[in-house]
Amino acid sequence: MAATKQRSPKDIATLLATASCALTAGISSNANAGENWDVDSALMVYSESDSRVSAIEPVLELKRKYDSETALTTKIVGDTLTGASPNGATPSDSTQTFSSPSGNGTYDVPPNTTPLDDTFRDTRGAFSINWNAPAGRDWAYSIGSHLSAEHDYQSVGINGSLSRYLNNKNTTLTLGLSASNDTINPEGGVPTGLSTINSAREKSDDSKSLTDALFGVTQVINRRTLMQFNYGVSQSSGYQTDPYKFLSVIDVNTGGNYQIAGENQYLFEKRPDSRLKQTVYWQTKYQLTNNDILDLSYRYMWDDWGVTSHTLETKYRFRFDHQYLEPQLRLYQQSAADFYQRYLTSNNYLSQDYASADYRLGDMTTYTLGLKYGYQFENSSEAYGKIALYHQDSTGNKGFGKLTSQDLYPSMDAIMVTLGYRF
Amino acid sequence: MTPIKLHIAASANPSCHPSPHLYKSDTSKVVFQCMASTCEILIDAPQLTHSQLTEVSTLGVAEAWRIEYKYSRYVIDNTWANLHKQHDAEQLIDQETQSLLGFAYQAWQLSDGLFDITSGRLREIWSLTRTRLPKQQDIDELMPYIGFSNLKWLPDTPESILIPTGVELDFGGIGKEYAVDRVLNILSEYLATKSLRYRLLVNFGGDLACKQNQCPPTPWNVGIESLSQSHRSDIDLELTQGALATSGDTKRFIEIDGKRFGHILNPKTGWPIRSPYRSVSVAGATCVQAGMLATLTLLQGNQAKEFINQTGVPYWLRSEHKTYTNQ
Amino acid sequence: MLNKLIRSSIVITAIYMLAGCSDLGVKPWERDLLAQDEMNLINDPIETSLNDHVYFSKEASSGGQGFAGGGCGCN
Repeated sequence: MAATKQRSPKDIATLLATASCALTAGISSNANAGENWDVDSALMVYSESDSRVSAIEPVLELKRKYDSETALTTKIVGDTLTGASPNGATPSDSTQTFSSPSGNGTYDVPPNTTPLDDTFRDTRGAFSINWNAPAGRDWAYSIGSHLSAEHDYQSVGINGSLSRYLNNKNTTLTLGLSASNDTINPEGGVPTGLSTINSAREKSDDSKSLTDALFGVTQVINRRTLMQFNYGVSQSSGYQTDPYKFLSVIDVNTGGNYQIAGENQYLFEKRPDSRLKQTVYWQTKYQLTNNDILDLSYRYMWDDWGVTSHTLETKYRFRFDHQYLEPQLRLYQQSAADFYQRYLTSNNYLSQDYASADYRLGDMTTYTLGLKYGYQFENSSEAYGKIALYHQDSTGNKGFGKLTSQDLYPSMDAIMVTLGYRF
Repeated sequence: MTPIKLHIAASANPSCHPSPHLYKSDTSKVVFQCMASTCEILIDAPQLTHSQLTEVSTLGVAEAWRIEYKYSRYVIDNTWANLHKQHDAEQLIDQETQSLLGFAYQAWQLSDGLFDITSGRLREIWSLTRTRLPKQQDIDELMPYIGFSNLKWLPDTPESILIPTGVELDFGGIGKEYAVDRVLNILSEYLATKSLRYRLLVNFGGDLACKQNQCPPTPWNVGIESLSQSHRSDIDLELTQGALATSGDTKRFIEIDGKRFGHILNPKTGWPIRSPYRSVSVAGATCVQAGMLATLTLLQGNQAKEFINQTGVPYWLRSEHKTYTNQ
Repeated sequence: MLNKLIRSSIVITAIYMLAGCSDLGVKPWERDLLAQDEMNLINDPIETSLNDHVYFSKEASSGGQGFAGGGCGCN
C-alpha cells in the first residue's frame, strides 16, 4: 500500500533533503513547481492515398509551471503541405483543362479522372501563447493569443476563459470566448463567386472574422469517473468561400460538360458570407478497476448552412507498468450544406445564389482507426507513437446522362503517423 | 559569566517555560527549555547591538515554543487537540500542518511504510514504565488504527483531511528537528540583514544545525554523546554547515526479563525494532533530513548499517560496544 | 390541481437535479485517481490539436471540446 517502488538508500537521502528544504522554507513539499520548462514535442506525417495531399506537421510546446494550477504555455506549429486536392469539377469523358490558381499556366486532367489541382503547396507557421492561473479559491482564468501565417492566409486572434469551481471542486463551470480575424489573399486574387473561371479577379484580398463562445460544465461523478458537457456557438462573417474550388456546369441534354463557344463552363464556388455553428459535446472518462482508462465522447453540430454532424470517439487505454497501448476509434457523419451541389446544369447555373461542390460540404461519413503506444520513463518523460487510418466516403446526387458513368464521389484514405516525446 | 534573563511576552510563551538565559560573549549563547530538552542557540555576529541580540534571541526562542505548543499532545486547545476533536469529519488544516503532513507522507512512502506518523498510539502499550511484555492481543486490537493509509488525505489536496476515530497523528518524530531548522532559518535571515558576518548554531538536545556566511568558514566543534551513563561526548567533529541528528534508545528504553526494548517501534508489527544498534548520528543538509535518515536507519533493524552506508551521508552508528562510521 | 402538482413536481425535480449534483463527486482525499495526468479530459493536448487540425481541414465540423477555431486557410 505504501511505496509503489523501492528506492535506493541514496535516492531516499536525496529525496528527503529536497523535501526537508521545502518543508522548512514553508513551502508545501508537494507543490510540483518546477524551475524548468516542460517540453512536449510531436511530429505528424499525414499522407493520402493516390498521391493526393501529404503533410508534415511538427509541433513544439513549452510549458512553464509555476504551481499545479498556474502555467505559461507557448506553442509553435509548422505545417508543410504538398500534393493534389480535388478542385470541385466533375470527372468527364474527355480531357479537361484548368488554369492554375495563379493564372500562370494550365493543367490538364485526363478523361474519367477526378480533377485534382496539383499545384497545391503550402507552408504554415503558427505561434500561440496562453496563461492560466487561479483567482482565489474558487475561480480560475486563462488568456491567450495566436498568430498564424501561410502565403495566402493570415490569422490573428485572442481568447480567454473563466472557470468557477463549485461543490468542493467537483463541479466546474467554464465560459470561454475567442475572437479572431483572418485575411485571405489567394494567388491570382479573389475570384467573384459564381463567375466563370476565366473572369477577371476583382480584388487581391478579403477577410473574415470569427467569434466563439463556449460554455462547459465538468462534473466529477465518482472516484473513477469524470464527465463534461459543452455548448458552443461560433459565428463567422466575411469571406468563407474556397477561392480555389470550382463547379462544373453540366449540359442538361447530354450529361457532359456544358460548352459555350467550344469551351467547358466552370464557375467559381460561392458560399454565404455568414455562418453560425452550434455544438453540444459530451465526454466521459472512466478508470476501470484494473486501471485501464476508457474515454468516450460524442458531439452534435448544426449550422445555418444546413450541415448537421455526429461525431463519436472512443479510446481505450490498456495500462501496464511503464507502457500503455491505446486503440482509438472515431466515427463521423455529416449531412450536406443546403447550397452543396456536385455540379450545376446549363438550366440552373445562372440562377444560383450560392453553390459549392466542395466534397467537405457534402454528405459524408468517415472513420478513423488508430493505435497508440507509449512508454513512460522513470523521470516522468514519455515517448509515444501513433498510427491511424482515416477513411472518407461521400455520397450524393448521381447525375444523369453521361455523368452517371463517372465516379462523382471517390472515397479517400489517409494514413497518419505521429511520433511524440515529452519531458 | 552572569546570564541575562530574556523577558519574553506571555503570549509567546504559551507553555509557561522559565525565561531563557542569554550569555553574552564573542559567541553569545541562549539557553532555554523546549520539547523536554535543554536547547541552546549560539550566535557569533560581531556587528550586532545588544538590543538586536536580545531581539534575535527572542525570535528564535518564540519560534521553538510556538512549534512545541502547536503540536503538543498534552495541551487542551492547540492545533493538535483541535485536529483530534473532530473524528470522522472532513476538516481544513493550516499551511504548516499541510507541509508537515506532506513531509510525513513522503517519508512514509520512501520508507515503504516504516516511518508512520500514526504510529504514536503504540506508546500506549510500550510505555517506559512497563515491566512486563504486553499481550499480543492488546497490540492486535490497536493495529487497525496504525497506518498512514487510514488517514483520508492526499498530497494533491493537502488542505483537507479526515481522521477516522481512533487514529492519532504524532508529530513527535519530526517536530524537534523541524523546530531546529525553522529557528535556524529565521535567525539566519535576521542576521543576514543586520550583520556582515555571522555564525549560528541551533542545538536542541543533540539535534542541531548550523549556518554561517563567513569565508573562509570557521567550523563549530560538535560532540556526540557516548552511550555510557556519563553522557559525555566521545566523538568530536567539526561542522561548518548543515545538520547533525541522533536517534537512539540511550535514554528511552524498557528492560523486561533482561531483554532490552528500545522506543523505535515498527508500525507494521506493533513491536519494538530488535537490533544490535543502539543509536545513530547522521549528518545532513537539514536537521529534518538528518533526523529522518537516523530514524529510518534504526527502523532497518539488523540491516541498519547496510542502509546508512549506502546513503552516502556521514554517520556514526553505535552498538553496545562499537561505533561504525564512514568518516 | 393536477396541473399544479405536475408543475411543482417539475420544479422540485429541477431543484433536485441541481442539488443532486452535490451527491455526485468525491471528497478531496478520493482524488487519487482523478489526479493522474491520464485522467485529464484532454490528457494529450498536442495530439488533440493535431487531430483537430486534420478533421478541421477535411470535414465541415469543428469545435465542441474546445473552440471551433480557425486560423488556417485549409477550410
